[in-house]
Parts: sequence; structure tokens; C-alpha cells
Amino acid sequence: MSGLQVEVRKGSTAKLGRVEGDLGVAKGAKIVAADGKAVTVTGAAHFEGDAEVDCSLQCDSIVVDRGVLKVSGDLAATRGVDVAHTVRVSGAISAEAIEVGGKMDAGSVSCKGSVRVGGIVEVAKALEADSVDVGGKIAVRGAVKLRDLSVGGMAEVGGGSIAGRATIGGIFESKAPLEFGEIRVYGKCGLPAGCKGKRISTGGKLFVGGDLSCEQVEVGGLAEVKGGLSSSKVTVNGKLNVLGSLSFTDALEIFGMGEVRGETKGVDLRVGGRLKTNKAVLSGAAEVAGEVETAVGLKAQSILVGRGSRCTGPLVGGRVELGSSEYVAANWSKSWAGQMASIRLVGRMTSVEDVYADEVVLGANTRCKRVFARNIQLGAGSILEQATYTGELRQGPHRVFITKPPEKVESLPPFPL
Amino acid sequence: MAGGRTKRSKADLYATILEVIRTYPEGERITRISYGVGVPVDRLKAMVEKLSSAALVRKIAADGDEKGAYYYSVTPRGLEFLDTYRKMKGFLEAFGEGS
Repeated sequence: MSGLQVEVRKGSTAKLGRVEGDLGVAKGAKIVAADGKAVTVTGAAHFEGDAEVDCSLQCDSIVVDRGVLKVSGDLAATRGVDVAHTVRVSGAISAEAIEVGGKMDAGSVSCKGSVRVGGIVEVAKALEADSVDVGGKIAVRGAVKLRDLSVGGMAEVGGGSIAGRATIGGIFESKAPLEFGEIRVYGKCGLPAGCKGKRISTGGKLFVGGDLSCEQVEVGGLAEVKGGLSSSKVTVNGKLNVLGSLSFTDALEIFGMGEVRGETKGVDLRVGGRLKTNKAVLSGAAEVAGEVETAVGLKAQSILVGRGSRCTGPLVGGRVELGSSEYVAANWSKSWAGQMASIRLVGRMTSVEDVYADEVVLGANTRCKRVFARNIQLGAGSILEQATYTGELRQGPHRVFITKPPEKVESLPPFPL
Repeated sequence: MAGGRTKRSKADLYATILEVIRTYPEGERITRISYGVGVPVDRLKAMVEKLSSAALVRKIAADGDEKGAYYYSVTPRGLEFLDTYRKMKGFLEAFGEGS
């Protein structure tokens, strides 16, 4: 420890004011402030082991070789804080960079650069830093203001903002509204109402206590949104439950199960599993290779219902094609297993209820109730209750089954939705 | 690492160790890693040696004054283990059997 100006011996108590130069503190020592408030060290403060600072401490940099450093006031370093084991600061820690091998406890943390902690971080109030990387667990009761966050285990914050990327290996929970860039949670993610971000992806569970606004949502397991969900693109490989309405400006892709109590409104819809919603209104295309259940109806520019699929509730579209093609799902999403897949519900008839459209094409073995369209084309084995059209009814030499005689009319009844 | 007191499996321990070492991309010594993991150095050493022999951790001898000391960092394969472990935990979470 060459160049030291002040040394505090092992087990002793030193009353200090301003230290010009470096400070060396041996194991078991205690430092108190001459003015009762703070000790200022113009150089570096070096602690060999366990030590107690019963005031605030300000220095150029701090190094703690081992043991626990306790500071009852604030701890401020112009440059870095480097603690091998544990640091406990009742007040605020502020530094250019913070590195702790074991545990960091603080009232609040303000760091211009990176905070890196091998084990656990606990902050009673706010945490502000450029990046935070924690191997174990982080709990911040106040708000965070970060660019990036990476936590191996569990992360709990009191709202704030994570402008860049948050990667959480285990559980993530925010107790207050959070603004985020990208959140990737492998386990469980809990957000309150009023959160807003660019992208959220979860492998396990996502719970949102109210409304969520997020450009891209990817759900690997289970997602429940207790309010409305507003997004650009939503991809569900597991189960999505939205208690409010769901609106999206790009596509909604459901490979598992989706239930939206309110209205589903967006551009394109792709269902490889099951979707249940009160009403679906789309400005683009709906492609169904599974089941869609609506109370009020599904409306889109074009509706393609794959062979063996089932739709409950009226279908309203420009062009509606039912059961005429085997649906190829691989085109939907490049990230879906990276494999070509073809979904065909073998042995099941394609079944829909009422259809209102400009053009309706019924493939082989399709069952529907009433069809109202300008032109209708019937495939072999089609079964329908009623066909009402203004243009053409086309049917090949094959048999079709229509309960009531087809009716050509001057104008069709008003379409729902 | 977690708040509960359930006994950690070997995979949990290895993942915990890798998560701590991951925070030191430039490598770190065993003592400091033990503070993050919360396991005594001698016990940790055995586990880290196993991870090293499985190529999940890289072991580099320190030079200069630190004769006999080693620095440990996570390999790409170790990151792959962590990614797979996290994904599996996510699946179990979705089944209601996680954390």
C-alpha cells in the first residue's frame, strides 16, 4: 500500500475529516467522521477486510479485498467501487462503475456506467445506471432507470424505465408501470397495468394486471392480460387470454389457444390452433387451420378456412374460401421450429355457419349454414342449408346437398359487422 | 439464488455457478465467484472443475504475481447450457411446476 497518507490499524477506530491522498483500512477497523457527517478521501480508499464506516464516505475509488463493508451514510466514488464480497450502504451509492462479487445492499444506487454483481442486489429506493448485470437476484423497491438489465435469476423492480434490453433467466416482476425496450423473460413475467414497450417475449408465463401496449408480443407458454392488449404483432405458441380487447397493426398468429373477451381488431390473422373472441374485424386476411369461435362474427378482406377447420359465428369477407386447400403453416413464421409443416385435420369436415361475401368457394366436404354472396362455387360433397346469390352459382358434375333451393336475388340482405 | 428454501438440483447449482461467472466475461478468480454463488471455495472448486472438463467453463492460468491462480469464464457451450436450462425452466413454469 505505497503512497498512502493515512492508515487505520486492525480493529481500531479512526476519526477522520479530509484525507489528502489514499486511505488504507485494515480488517475490523471502524471510521467515524470528525464533523459527524462525512469523510472525504481525495485518493483511493482500500479496505483489507470487514470494516465499518459510521458516516458518509467520499473518495476517488474504493476497493474492498474481502469481507463486508458497512457504510451508515452515503458512499460516493468518482471512479469505481470494487468489492470482492459484500457492501451494505444505508444511504446512496454513487460511482462511475460498481463491481461486487457477492451482495450489494443500498438505499439507492446511481451509476454512470455499469453495475455488475455476482450474487444479489437489494435497493430500498431507486436504481439508476447504464447497465446492470446480476448473476443471482435483484430487488429494487423504487423505480429503475436503466439502459440494459441482465439477471440470471429473479428480478423485481418498482417500475421506471429499461430503455434497451432486459434479459431475465427466471422471474421478472414490476410493481409499478414500466417503460421498456425489449424484455426477454425465460420464466414468469408479471407486469401491472399501464406498461408500455417495444417487445416482450416470454417462455413461461406472462401476467399483465391491466392494459398493455407493446409493439411485439411473443408468448411461449401462457399469457394473461387483465385489460386490453395493443400491439403491432402478437405471436402465441401457447395460450393467450385477453380480458379486454386485442388490437394489432400487423398480424396475430396463434399456434396454440387464444381467448379474447372483447374485440379482436387488426390486419392479418393466422390461427393454427384455436381462437375464441367476441368479434374479429380485420383489414387484411384471415387464415384458419383450426378453430375460430366468435359470438358476433369474423370479418376480413379475405378468409381462408383450411380443410378440416371449424368456424362458429358468421364469416364476412370479400372472398371466402372454405375447405378447398390443405393449409401450409410454415410460411407464417420463420421461427416456428424452422421446419415445413402441413396442418390438415384428417377425417373432419370443414364446418362453418353463415357466410356473407362477394365470392364464396366451398371445397370438397364442406358444411355451412347459409351463404349470401355475389358468386358461389360449390365443391363435391358440399352441404349447405341455403344459397342466396346475385351473380353465379357454379357447381361441377359432382353431388352437393342444399336443404333449400338456391335463390338468385336482386340484392343481398345487409351483411353483419 | 431463489427466495425459497427448496434443495437445488445439480443442474440448478451448475446454472447458478455459470450465471455468476457469466457476469465476468473477462474471467474471474474462484474466491470472488464463490461470494456470488454462496458456496465454500473448496466445494465450488470441484464443481467448477467439472464444468471446465465439460467445456462449459474456460480455465486460464493467471500470469505475473498470481502464480498458481486461475481465471474462469463461460464458454459458448456454457452459454448454450444456460439458455437451454432457462428455456426448460420456462416450460416447467408454463406447466405450473416452475420456480
